[in-house]
Amino acid sequence: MMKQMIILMGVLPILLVFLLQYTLDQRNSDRISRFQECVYQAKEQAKQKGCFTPEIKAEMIDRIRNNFDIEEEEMEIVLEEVPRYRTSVFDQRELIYYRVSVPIEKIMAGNRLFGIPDEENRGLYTIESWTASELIRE
Amino acid sequence: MKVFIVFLGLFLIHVSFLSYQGDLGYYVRCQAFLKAVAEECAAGAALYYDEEAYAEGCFRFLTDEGRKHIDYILEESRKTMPFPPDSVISYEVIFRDDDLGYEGSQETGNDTETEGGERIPSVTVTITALTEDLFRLPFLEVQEIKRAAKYELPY
Repeated sequence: MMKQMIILMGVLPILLVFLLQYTLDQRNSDRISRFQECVYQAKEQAKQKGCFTPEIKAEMIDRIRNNFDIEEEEMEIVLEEVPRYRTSVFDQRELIYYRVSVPIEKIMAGNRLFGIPDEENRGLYTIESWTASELIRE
Repeated sequence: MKVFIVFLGLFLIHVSFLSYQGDLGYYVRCQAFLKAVAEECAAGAALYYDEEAYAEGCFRFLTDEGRKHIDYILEESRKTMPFPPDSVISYEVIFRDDDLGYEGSQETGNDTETEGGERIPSVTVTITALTEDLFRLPFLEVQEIKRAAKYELPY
C-alpha cells in the first residue's frame, strides 16, 4: 500500500502538468484570437483614414492592454503614420504597413519542473501585413 | 506496478491529446492567416476599376492592377506565413463586373446576383496552401488549407 502511495506521489505531479497545459493552451489561443480582432479592427479604421492615426493607435493599444494585461512598452508596434492614398493603378508605395507583436508570457506549464527557465518559456506573437488605403486624395 | 501501468496508460492518452490540441491550434492559426490574406487581396483588388467606363455607366475592374495587388500581398505574406517553409501557396481570383459578366455565380453558391436581378460587381479570391501534414499523429491528415474571401461593391 505504501509502495503504491509513493509511486502515486511521484506520477501525480506529471499528470497535473497536463491539465495545466490544456488550460494554458486554451488561454493562449483565446488571447491570440482577441489580439487578431484588435489589430483587424484598427486596420479597417486605418484603411478609411489612410494611415494609423494617433487615435486609432491609442485605441488599439488600449484594447490590447485590456485583453493581455500588459503595458505598451512590452508591445512591439510599427505602424504607418503618414497618410497613404487610394490610387487608380497599383502602387506599392501607397499601401499601409503594420506590424504588431505581443508577448506570450507562458507557453509551457510547469516549465521549471522540466528545467526550462521562465525567460525561455515565452514568445512573441506577431501580425504583419499591408493593406490598401481607401482615402481619396483631395 | 499496477499504479505505474495505469500511469503509463494515462500518460500516453494525455500526450496524444496534447499533441492533437497543439496541432489543432496551429491549424486554426493557419486558417486565420489565410483568411486575413484572402480578405486583404480581395478588398485591395476591388479598388481598381476603369473610371472612364464607369462614367459611361459600365463598371469594369482593372484586372491586371488587381492581380498586381494580390501578387504583392501574397509575396510579402510568404515571409510571415505560419506554414512549414516548403509549403506551396497559390490563388485563384474571379472578377465579376459588367464587362466579364456575372455568370457562374450561382454555381459556386456565391449569390452575386440577387433575387431582384440586381448585379453586384465583386472580387472573389481563393487561396490554397499545400503543406506537409499539419497533424503529427495518425487518424487526422490535413495537407491542404483553402480559404476564400469575397468583396462586393455597391453599384
